[in-house]
Amino acid sequence: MSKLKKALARAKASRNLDENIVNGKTKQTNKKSGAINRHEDNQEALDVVYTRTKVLDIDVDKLKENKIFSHIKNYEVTDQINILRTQVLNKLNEIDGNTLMVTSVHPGEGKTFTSINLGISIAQELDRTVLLVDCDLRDPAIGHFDFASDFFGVKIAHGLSDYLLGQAELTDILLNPGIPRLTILPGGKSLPNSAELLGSARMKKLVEDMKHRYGRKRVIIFDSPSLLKFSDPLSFSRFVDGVLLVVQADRTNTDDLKKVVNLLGKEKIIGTILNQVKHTH
Amino acid sequence: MDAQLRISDLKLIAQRRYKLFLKAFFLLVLGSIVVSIILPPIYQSTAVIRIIQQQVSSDLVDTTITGYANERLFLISQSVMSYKELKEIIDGVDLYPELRGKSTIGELVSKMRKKIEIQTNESSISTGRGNNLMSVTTSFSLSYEGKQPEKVMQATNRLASLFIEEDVKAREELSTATTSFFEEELDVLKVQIQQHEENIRKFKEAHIGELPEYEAMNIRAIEQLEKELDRIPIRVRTLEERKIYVNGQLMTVDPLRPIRTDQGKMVSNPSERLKRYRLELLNLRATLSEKHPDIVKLKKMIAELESQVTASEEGVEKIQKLDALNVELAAAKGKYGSQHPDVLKLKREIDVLSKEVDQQLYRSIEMAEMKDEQPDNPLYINLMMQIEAIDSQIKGLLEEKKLIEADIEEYQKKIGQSPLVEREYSELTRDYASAKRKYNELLNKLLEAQMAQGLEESQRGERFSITSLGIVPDKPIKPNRIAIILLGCMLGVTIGSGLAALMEATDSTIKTADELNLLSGVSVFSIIPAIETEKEARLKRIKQVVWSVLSIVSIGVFLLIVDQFIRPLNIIWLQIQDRLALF
Repeated sequence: MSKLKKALARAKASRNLDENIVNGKTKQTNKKSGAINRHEDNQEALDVVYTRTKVLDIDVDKLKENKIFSHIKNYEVTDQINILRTQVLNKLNEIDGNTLMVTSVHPGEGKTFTSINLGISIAQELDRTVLLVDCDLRDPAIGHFDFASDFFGVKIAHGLSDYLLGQAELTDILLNPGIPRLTILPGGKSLPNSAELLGSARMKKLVEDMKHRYGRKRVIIFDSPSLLKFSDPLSFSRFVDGVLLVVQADRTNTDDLKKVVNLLGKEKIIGTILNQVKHTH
Repeated sequence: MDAQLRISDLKLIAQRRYKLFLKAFFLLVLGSIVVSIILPPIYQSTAVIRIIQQQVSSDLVDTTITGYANERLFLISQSVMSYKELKEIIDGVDLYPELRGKSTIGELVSKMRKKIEIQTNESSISTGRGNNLMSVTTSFSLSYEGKQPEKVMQATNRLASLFIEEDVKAREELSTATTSFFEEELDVLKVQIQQHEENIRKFKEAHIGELPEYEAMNIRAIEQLEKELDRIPIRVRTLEERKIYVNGQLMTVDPLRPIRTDQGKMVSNPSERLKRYRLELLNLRATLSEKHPDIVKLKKMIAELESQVTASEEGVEKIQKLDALNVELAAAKGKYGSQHPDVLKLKREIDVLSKEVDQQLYRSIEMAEMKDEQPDNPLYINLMMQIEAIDSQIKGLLEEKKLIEADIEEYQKKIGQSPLVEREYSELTRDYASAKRKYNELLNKLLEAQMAQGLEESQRGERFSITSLGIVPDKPIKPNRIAIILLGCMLGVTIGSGLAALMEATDSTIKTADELNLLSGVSVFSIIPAIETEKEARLKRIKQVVWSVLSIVSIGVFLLIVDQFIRPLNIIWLQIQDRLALF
């Protein structure tokens, strides 16, 4: 519990810091920001009490190890993530949506990293809750991490795959990792036919359920597999309000990007993220 | 690809690719350093050979060594660098000892040949004839390069002396060949000339006096002869006149000596004699009979004398007439010329008369002889002799006339032959003259060739001479280590940049937010820098350490192997020092 307390305290403290930083940045960089609006909305912190979700301890070091920094406010990376968060939230307001799919052209470009960090970052907004869903249900390939075990250091019994197979209920699989306002839905065991599952009616139903159940205040982030390798995410993209495309610098090539953009459709992509930039101006 | 590269882009590119560039650069520089150390030093020795122009002016001796020095140099170098000569040098100096077992002699010879360099030095001089500037090779340098300085020098100097030897040989051969050629030709011509001379001599012999050079002489001779011919009739005339005169005298002279009569009178002329004879007859008749031989003889004599007296009287008349006719003849000749019919008629008359007079004279002589009485009158005899002399003179003259006429005919025949003879003769002389001319020309050439030969032998002709021999080189000419390393650097830079550029060009990955924005048509929400966790940093460091240790260890192992199996390291170090010292 002390750990949790520490975490909470840290969260609070950094929350203030976050605010300052956000202020500074938003005023300078975000031109089309509904930032001011959002900021004003932030009158009351949402205190969420988890009724059915399991609450777990998190290991901060483990998080750091796995590049999850939003929680800790000492890195410039976090600034970028916060910028990302701001823009995402603005866009979601604009389109009046709350479901977001995070994908990339190739595996290992940093979708999971982005989605988790984004999730945590949004969760720090006192007026939002976040649900992080791990949709990458295939065998762990290079660059694919399982949310729960790899990032949060928790072992789980069931996940999304079980649910889609009808072997588990939502209540069984949702968890809170100890970060306020953040819930995760891990992927569960890996399946060979994940493509069909992702695009299945059951999945669609799940998405719709989640969407409507929590309303605008809950942002649902789906961490999906990469687009070009398999067709899974493409069909899935129709269920969500918007797609965030993560692009790894110096790795993804222009043709592939174009292909992906065409596949998804420009309107569906609400924004892109350039990740792993080694050399800056 | 972007149409323009901005400086900021270049900076980015540099940031991205500097590692690649550096790797390439260092590899190449290292490689060039290694190469420059590994390459064995090559030394070169040079001998300089001067081409000395001939020391006697070429106006005096136009040497038979024609052709510019360049061509000769080329030919001589061909024969010097032949298999045979080079093999000798390779064996003698012991070149390429390390390759002896592995390569054939032929390969070594070709190798050596490639290492020999001949460079000519030219300068412009004005030729003797005209003021044209000619570029003439005045000297050339002969270099050989190899690994061992001492041997390189020896080989170079051997080559140089070979050049000199070959040059001398070539010249001598050439000049000797030239003179013997001329000598042979001259002999042939000499024989021809002698033949011509013989022909001409024979011809002259065969046609003496018919030759054109005789023509004037012949004409003059004819003129002379004709003059003499003309003179003969005159002389004959003169002699005949004299004969008549002498005849006249003879008429008056008794062939016998005047008989002294009893009274002591001398009786000489025929009429007196007649009288005497008649007296004698009377005397005899007194004592002798008519039939007596003395009396008969006397009677005959008297009869003869009587006819003679009349005859002589006639003779005297005739002689007198003859005289008159002669005078007439002379006058007529003078007036009408010797061909006038009157003149000819007179001549005929004179001839007839002369003959009669002669007859008379002979008859008197006969008579005297009949009586056994030789004319003993000295005067008579004298006159008779005179007449005989005159006669023989006349005969002589006539014969002479005939001879002269024959001669004239001869000469005229000769003159007639002259044109034909002239043509043939001039042909002969022409051939002879041209043969002689050729001979003279050749003779001149031979003399020149001999002089040139003499020039060569006395070493005053154009020849090669060693100005400086090769020395033992102390510094190698190759490899130019600094150049190699610089080249390595340049290559490093070029290839490094080339590779970097290539990587850039082929890199179609997305690098900047702008690119992403442009390509996707969607705004870029954020740019997340690459992060390295502590763990990753640590790992990286460990990796680096491991790599350096590994490389050190492998270099160590490599050096160990080299030391044990190839060559001990300290020796290599010394060699390197050596080579580096030679910078």
